[in-house]
Amino acid sequence: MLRRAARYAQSGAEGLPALRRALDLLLREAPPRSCFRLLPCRAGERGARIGGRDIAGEALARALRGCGTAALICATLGQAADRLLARAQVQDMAWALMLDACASALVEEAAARALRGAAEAAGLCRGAATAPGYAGFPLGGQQALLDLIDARRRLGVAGTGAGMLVPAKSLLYVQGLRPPGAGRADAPDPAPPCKTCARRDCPFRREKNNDESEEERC
Amino acid sequence: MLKELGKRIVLLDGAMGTQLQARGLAPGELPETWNLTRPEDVQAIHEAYLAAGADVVTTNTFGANALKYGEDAAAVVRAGVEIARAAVRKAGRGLVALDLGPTGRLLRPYGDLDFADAVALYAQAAQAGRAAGADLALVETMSDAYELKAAVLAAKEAGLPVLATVTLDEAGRLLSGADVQVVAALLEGLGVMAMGMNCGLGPREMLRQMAALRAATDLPLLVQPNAGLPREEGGVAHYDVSPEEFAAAMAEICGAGAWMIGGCCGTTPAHIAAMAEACREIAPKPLPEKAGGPVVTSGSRAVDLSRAPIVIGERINPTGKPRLKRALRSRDIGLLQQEAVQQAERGADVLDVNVGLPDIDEEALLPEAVQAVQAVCDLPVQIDTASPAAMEAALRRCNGIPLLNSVSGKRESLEKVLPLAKKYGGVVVGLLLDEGGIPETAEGRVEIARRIVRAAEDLGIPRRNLVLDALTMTISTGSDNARVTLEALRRCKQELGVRTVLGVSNISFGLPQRETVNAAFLTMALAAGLDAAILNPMSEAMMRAFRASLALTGADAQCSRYIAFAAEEQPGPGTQSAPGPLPAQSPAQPARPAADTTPAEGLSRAVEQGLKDAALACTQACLDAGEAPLRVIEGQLMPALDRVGARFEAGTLFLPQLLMSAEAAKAAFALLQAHMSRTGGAPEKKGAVVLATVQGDIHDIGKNIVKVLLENYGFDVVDLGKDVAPETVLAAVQAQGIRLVGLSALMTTTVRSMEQTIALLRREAPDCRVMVGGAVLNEEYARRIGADFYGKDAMASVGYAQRLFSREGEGA
Repeated sequence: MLRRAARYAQSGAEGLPALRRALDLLLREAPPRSCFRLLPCRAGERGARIGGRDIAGEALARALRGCGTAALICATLGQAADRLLARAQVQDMAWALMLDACASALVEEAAARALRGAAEAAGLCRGAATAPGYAGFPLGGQQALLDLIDARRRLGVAGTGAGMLVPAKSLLYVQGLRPPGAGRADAPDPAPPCKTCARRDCPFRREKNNDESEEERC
Repeated sequence: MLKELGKRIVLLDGAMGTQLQARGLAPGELPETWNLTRPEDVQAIHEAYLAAGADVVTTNTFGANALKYGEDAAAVVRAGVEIARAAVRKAGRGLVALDLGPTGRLLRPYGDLDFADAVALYAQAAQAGRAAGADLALVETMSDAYELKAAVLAAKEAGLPVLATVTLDEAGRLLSGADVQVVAALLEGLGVMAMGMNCGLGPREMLRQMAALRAATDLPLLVQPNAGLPREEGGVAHYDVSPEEFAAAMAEICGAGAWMIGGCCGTTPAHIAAMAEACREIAPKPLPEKAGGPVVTSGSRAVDLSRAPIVIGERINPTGKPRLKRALRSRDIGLLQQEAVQQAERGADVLDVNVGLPDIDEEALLPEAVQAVQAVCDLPVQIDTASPAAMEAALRRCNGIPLLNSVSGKRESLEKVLPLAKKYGGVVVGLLLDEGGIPETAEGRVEIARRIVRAAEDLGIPRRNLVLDALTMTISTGSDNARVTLEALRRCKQELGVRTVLGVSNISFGLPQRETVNAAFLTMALAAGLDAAILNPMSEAMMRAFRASLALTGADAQCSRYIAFAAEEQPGPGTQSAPGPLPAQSPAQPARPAADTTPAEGLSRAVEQGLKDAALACTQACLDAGEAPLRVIEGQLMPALDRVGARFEAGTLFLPQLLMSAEAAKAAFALLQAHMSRTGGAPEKKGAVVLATVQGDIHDIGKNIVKVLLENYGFDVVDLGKDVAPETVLAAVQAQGIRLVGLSALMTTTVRSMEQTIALLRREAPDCRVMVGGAVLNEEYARRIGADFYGKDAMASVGYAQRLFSREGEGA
């Protein structure tokens, strides 16, 4: 996780001590919280029905194809992280950069754990994960997912009018779950589909799904 | 019901949402729509709860607001109330509570819903509900203290008595971080009829929270648990606590002090019937005597003045601070936020916020200043103003319960300020002066104190919510002044039982070595019983005196805070206010230049290596050696920054190091500017640039990085913040004749706002250039939306600004 944070901060190994301090601060003042919900799903051509609600998105349909259950997960560092980041930007921008990078990596780690936890709770294998805003999954579906998982009540996470998740260090994913033996699963941890994105010089670009990922065979 | 409260347990109803689902509410269907489409089903649920024994039914309006229902919101609310009224009429008994739940959005600064807009949303529902015949309002399932304030305020202003409940986690906190003490202070201040908790937890889990809740407030308690924790099966939530188990737990909750009980998710009429059977005859426990206090809060932190004396940081006050005056006049909130953070780090417990300047609109600026402080700091604030209008504007918008500085014994002041505290909550600082001025004797001041206490209590403000200021007068104009102040302080505490505050540093005005006198006076005042000291937390002498005095007066158990303070204190001057993010690019550097290095060389090296302390030390050494500040800037700082920038562009130095260098340069600049303010002369500014994150976008770290670098390179930056409407950008450009705007956006949806902003500027301010940046942009897209320049990184933006302004300077 710290290696990923260093990449986000555009820093090398010399940044690790500062990132560790950032991690300590976040774990103390803004520890990650997550929740999940398992819902019946059925993939269509251009979207899917999850928990009785139709949500558009070809990427969503692809992720849920062949799966009878969708795991919705939400993870956040809460308002405390936003306040720490705002404070850091007033104090020292270099420190703010490290804190911001660490916070991003921390909430992604929390989301990945929640996805694994949801699959274990369901006794199912993990398929692909995707999120509103990724290519092929319009943001319009985000509010329905937030309502289905009751994110506002359970975690204090909401959407803005422009489709952002708030507090700022929050993530929302949908992952398909399959019964064991139903086939080889895709890479377990969610990642933006960077391969299809034209911005080659993006500092967040990933050519692989996850630095630490392994394919999971069920 | 109001007459029954305290005589018997009052019963509210159970869940509406799960009851509607049982009757066929479809996934994604908004429950409140049934008020219009299936009113008979809604009424049947109310009737079932009334038949089960509920005294109060809550309307099916939990999420009925204009965000979800648009123009139909009022109609949905009206229908909800009318249905409940019909059920009550049919039953021949009962009260109707208008149900107000969360809006579904987060309030600024974390979300995009402004506090005033949230109040307006709730006001629409509350007014429609009252007009339709609601007897009271139930504000429930709140997990954010700020949204809670918006809802309760709106309901009160609509004329409804208010019950308010929050959702606590197992640690007894809201999701926004507030604990029950924060919630209690807020709701007591706002004058709700009863407070408590609902949802999130089952009855056994809520029983465990009762002790903390009861200890936090002397208000009647309302408790509405779920029927256990939800168990998901096939995508449907099931609640497994039976009516009998629920009723047994609720009886214990009544034994723990609840006066009003009901049920939340998963409860049914059977649960309410069992609860009624088990609890109806229980005699409500007497309300406790309120101990401790007063309590002031932010949205997430409470400070109880009865626990130990506190420090109120005084630095956010433009008096005698030219840099802060300039910042306030140009609405540069960043400096104000820096002062807040630094004082918090140095041990302030509360932050005084004063923006009083003769030529600014205090009524507009003070609430903005309070919000800006609260965005970076979770300490409670003291709203400090002589203007009742500004005080009300700030108090209304403030998250939490602040100190209100101040009311005096003057009749006009009592009439204007005390009602504000009554309406919004607030702990009031009372100045012991009146129309006759400041009495010269302690007796004279105590007499004014009695009048202030009486006036407050006549309005229903208990004396525990008053903090009296016996007024510090300088001993340079009266050798008895300290004695009179301390005697008045002592007598206020002993005779009136109120807390006390003093602005300590006034004692030494006109004397040399002021800190020596101030520290001694502080010690004496604390020994006399001072509860709150308004002082400069950046003064080591004052903080040492404060910490030592607490240890000496027994207000610091085992001297633990003093020991921690002594361990943290750094010897000598130090302004490092944040942990050093990275080690230097070479091994550990000294804070002062090496003996064989000139201060100028040392400064260059310190900036290149990102060493803030060393940069400050070398800058001071340059000034001490008589170097002209402008020469230091042009000879050392700017060339060092240029070398750093070139290495960044060459890819041999990276963003964190660039920022460390920028921060080191910024610290050096600040020192040089302070010197130039005293001695005259200032570096020529290269030009002014407006920066903004566009409307709908709330991420601003990239924009703020550009800001730091532009300021380093001598540009004035007008930072409009985030989520900035196109019209606001245009207004800033037109008001100040701006020639360059920088816009940032993170998402494809918000890039549209960027395009709209550019189009508006092209039409209305065609001479203004626009540079853009952000994760979703590229060169081609930037051109397509009409931008003049795409900054792939922060330095590229700085380079563009430099080229643009130097071309303009050359008349190109």
